[in-house]
Amino acid sequence: MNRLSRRGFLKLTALAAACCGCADVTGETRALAWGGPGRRPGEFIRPRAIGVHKGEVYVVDTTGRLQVFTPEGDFLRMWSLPDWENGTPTAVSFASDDRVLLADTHYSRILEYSVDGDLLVSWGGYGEGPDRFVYPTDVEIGPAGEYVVSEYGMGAERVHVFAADRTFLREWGGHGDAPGEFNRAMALALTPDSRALVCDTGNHRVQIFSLEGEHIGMLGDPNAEPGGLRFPYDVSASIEGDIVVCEYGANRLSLFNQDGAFVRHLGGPGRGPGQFSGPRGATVDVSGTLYVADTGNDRIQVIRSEAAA
Amino acid sequence: MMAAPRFVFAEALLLLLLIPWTVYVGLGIRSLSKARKFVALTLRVLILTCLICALAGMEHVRRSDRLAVFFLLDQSNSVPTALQAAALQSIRETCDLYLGPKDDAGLIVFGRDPSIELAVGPVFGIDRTQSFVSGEQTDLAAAIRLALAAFPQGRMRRIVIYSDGNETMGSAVEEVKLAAAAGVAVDVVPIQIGGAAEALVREVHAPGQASAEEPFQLRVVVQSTGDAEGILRVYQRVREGRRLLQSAEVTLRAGDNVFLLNQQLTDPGFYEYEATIETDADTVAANNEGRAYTVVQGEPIVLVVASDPQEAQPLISVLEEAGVRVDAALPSELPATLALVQDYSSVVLVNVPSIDLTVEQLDYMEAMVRDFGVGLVMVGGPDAFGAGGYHDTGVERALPVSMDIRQHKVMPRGALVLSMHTCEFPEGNAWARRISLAALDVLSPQDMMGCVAYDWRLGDTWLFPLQAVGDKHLMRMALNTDQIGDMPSAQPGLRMAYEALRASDAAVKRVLMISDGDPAAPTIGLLNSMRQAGISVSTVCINPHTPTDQQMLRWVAENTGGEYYFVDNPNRLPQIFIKEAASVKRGLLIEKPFTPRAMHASEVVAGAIASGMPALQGYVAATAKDTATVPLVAEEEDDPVLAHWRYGLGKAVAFTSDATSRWARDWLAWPGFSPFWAQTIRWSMRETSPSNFRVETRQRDGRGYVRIDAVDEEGRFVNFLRPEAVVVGPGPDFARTPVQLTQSGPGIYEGAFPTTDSGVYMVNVSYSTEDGARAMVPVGLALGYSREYTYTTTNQALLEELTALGGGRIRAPGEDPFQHDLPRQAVVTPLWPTLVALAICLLPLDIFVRRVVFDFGAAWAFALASARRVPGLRRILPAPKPRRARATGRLAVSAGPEATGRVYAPDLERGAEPVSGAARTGDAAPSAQGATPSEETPEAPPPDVGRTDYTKQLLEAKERAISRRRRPRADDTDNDRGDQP
Repeated sequence: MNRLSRRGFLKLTALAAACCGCADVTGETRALAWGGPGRRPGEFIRPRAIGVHKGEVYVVDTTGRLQVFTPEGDFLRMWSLPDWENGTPTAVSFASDDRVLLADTHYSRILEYSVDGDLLVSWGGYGEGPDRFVYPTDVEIGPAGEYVVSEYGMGAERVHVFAADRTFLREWGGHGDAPGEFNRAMALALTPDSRALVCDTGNHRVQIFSLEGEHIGMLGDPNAEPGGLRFPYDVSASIEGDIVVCEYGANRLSLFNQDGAFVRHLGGPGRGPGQFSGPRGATVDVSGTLYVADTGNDRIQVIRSEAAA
Repeated sequence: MMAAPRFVFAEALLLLLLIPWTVYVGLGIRSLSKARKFVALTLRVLILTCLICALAGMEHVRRSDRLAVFFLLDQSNSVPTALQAAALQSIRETCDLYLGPKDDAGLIVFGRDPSIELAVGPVFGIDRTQSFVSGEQTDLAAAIRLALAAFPQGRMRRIVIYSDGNETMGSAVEEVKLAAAAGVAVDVVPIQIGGAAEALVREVHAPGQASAEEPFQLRVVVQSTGDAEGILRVYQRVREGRRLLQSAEVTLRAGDNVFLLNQQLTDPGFYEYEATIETDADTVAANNEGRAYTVVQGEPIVLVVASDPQEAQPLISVLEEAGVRVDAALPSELPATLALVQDYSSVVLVNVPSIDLTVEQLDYMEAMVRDFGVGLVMVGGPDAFGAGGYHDTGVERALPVSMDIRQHKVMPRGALVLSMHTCEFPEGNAWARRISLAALDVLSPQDMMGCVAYDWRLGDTWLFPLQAVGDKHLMRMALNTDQIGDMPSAQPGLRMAYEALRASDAAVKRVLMISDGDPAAPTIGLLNSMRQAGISVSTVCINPHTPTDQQMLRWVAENTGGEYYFVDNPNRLPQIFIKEAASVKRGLLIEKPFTPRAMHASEVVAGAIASGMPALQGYVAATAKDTATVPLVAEEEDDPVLAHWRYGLGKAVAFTSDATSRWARDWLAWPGFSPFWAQTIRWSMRETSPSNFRVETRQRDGRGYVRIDAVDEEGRFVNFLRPEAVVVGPGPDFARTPVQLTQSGPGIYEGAFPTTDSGVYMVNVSYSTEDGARAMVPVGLALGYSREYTYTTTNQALLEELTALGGGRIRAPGEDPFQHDLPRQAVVTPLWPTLVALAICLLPLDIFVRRVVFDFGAAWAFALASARRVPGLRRILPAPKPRRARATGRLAVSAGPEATGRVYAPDLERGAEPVSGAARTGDAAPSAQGATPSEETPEAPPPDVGRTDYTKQLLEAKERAISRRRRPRADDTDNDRGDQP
């Protein structure tokens, strides 16, 4: 019997993994997919917001449900959002005191829940004033407990900062393509050193700010490939500061190191394991595992990557 | 689980009689050893049996003990929302409690139509429904039918209906009978409605016709579930508008309360009466009003509609001079319904764009002309006909011209790019296809069209690039197969459109963008470039998430000179797309002086055009329909200028030039102008004779009834008439239904028609009078609200009947519906594919057994020797016994003698005879098996692996055979040569 070559072994493993729902995508990244289309617990209709907190994965889909899973995809619990007909939240985040924060984009408000689904507070409301929202897209809690909210809409391309008691502190942004301006600020993430990463979706870049609004830099050189971004819809930072960008327009993830240098792309368009269809959300947990809302495929993909770890 | 085979075509089993014959024949074969013969025969019998069973359609049948339950939840309007939610909660809790590992559950919600909310599966787990079903009707039968179709195979099946039993469509009883016949149990959990105080307007009745100054009584029936105080208001609506007739405080008693109001009408017209009841003892607001209609026949009136009143003034003056009563109106004042337009004998549209009319108005125009005889005249202008976006509307169908241009050789072409972002409203992409095709239909072959959308794989991409429309076939295919994604930014698509349009040679360039408004905005630089390139962008906002979404689209339109539309009803979309597509067809406007040429003789303008017509300065190109009369055409292209025809009961006229100083300045001073227009419009007016007939309508149990009391002027019954009646249902469909009228008494004719939707049903009764004239009596029947709102109690009787017929029972909420007390269902698996596959697999084995001698001893020795090479096994396993030939370690073919000492060659041919070893060794393949080296003949090759190979032996045997044949031939040849002289 001939000895199986390493390449042959990898192919065999990929084949076997694909058969049981896993796949070896690149030889160093494993993708596990769970979910599938439907309205039952554990199923999704176009999942779009995803977050991970203390070993539990929170997913919001367009049916207006927030479902909670183990990292392996076992359904734990769910609850329904108060309104969903206009649209559903585009981001789910967490406070250190276990509050679950939802940017309820199409209802111009922020919802705060307990991890068991009790609605604690709903704040915001439609408007272009400094303490109102048009389309709040993401919310994060800063080191001092302040709320950082990204937003888009005509006259409301901006990032807000609110104090822990939700009083307005400051905002920055504006519509445009100059540094510091946005064309659809679609998502937000805070790095361990308290930099704000803002997905400037229409400008195909991620902008980096201090929490005071000072423009620090950008990710996504439009002329670079690899390294360029195509409609980044979500961004997340690992505890080491590595950055994951979810590219809706390119159906892939882009990984950057903490210095902002491009590392690699993951995925591509498709229905297979490790491939994406219009992904709208991605997050990374403390172990470096990536969780991707593979929206068009109605599933969640979990990617354990050496690069992301 | 029980399992049993069965056969679909058992007659084929007679073929099993072939088996004994096969065995008999097989036993006669002498070339095989007994063991091989036994195995070969067994295989043959198995193969034959498999094939015969496959032919007989063998099936595997087992009885499943899995149970599937479909819950049917009534979401019609007769069930209050709170009770619907409670019912869903009850279903959810029931599933949480009782859904077992061998159970599946699904949910169908229904009203007018059913929808599968959750297919049957092992988990339920939903706490709200997201299917959209119309609650205007209850079609329980359709829901049961859907459940029967959607049940998975091979389960015990149960339907559990959560309903108040007030069905308004279909027959649940019939469907339950079918369900019972199919072994499906039907249980019911009644939803108990009623109990709450309720008051509703059950009937408003007015005579269908009344004469001027004739007194009559308006009757209002208010039904109440208890005693209550309320306010009854009665309104009257006629051409001038709606006015309050009476507002009175009334005391309601439980049951029906009848209120009478004396009425006497003086002016002719079509009167609508509306009664409303307001009381605190009420739960449902939708059933608090009712309507009735009364017609007072009188002087005919012409309605002249113009977006610019100045444009209508010359025509109004002409008609007034001719003694015709005229009402002038803006498009927004055009009667909103088919009922109210019955006031008029003719409607004249003067340069009114289609966008200024509602979809209902555009569509009722056709029924208005065809079924009610009201005339329609369209007078041209830059916003009329094709340029006004009337393509594929009811107006176009009623007019004697179509908006397609077929007769022109050269037309300046326009270019239209559609930018589609339609995936974010219900059925959005289906609408996208419809409206794109509507726009495509407007364009001529030489026009250009392209379509940009967002594709999740390709990003912003052309569904088809900007190109000449041609025969439209490929574009239709592309539009029918597109998959439009969620566009993140408007910039890339608009840039693509800009670059394509800039490079085109079209005279008019336009982009039409439809979106919910949430893509990122394009840059102002791009919009400025588009404007400078003469490219306008019209935007359509539909289903915006917030008011801000409209801002972006409006901003884009304003900065490029396009139009902005906000649409709250997708039904308006085709109209907008048609108008926008028509806007690139500025070539439809032929603006050059011409003198109309008389074409056909016409009763309409006889005498009016003989006096010589001055020139017109322009017109809108259109195409006359085949059966239209075209008295006037344009000089060069033979485009119709004046066309008219009869359409159903009515008449329609198209004048493609205008009646203003824009194109008809010379006509305004022409003496023939007044007679021309007076004659034309008079001709279009409804032809009707005064009628003494009384036509009444009423509604009961989901059907409308019409009754005619026919008496002549002297009060005598008119018998043996053949009156015709047609009913036109409410919009947007305006479905037309002929009504069969039969004489049921002296001068009495009656008929009935279905009334499934709420709204106004217009009935037109027409008949021929003794003098041959046509008389028409239009009447209206109003169903102000759905029948769903008339139910105040649960229809317990129907629900009990359903359970009785369906072999189920009435259940209390929360009761376990997952009891496995139903007959187990058969799960049938066809076995023929397996049997055929098995036969195919056995066939090579059969051949192998008959053709190949397998040396088990050699194989065993090889296996033993191989195993002994493994460290540790050598001491355990015995050494292979010495054999006469070295084991090759492969499947070995023996050509040597077996136990009998005889040598068998592989029986290449069936029934090959054994030959002696000596004979074989002489000229046949030498063997390595069964012969020691010392026994080998000198000619035999060394006994190695290759020599024992079966193929090699065959080759060698073949070569020897060939050489044998050649040798004698060579001798023969020599002999032949020797014989030659």
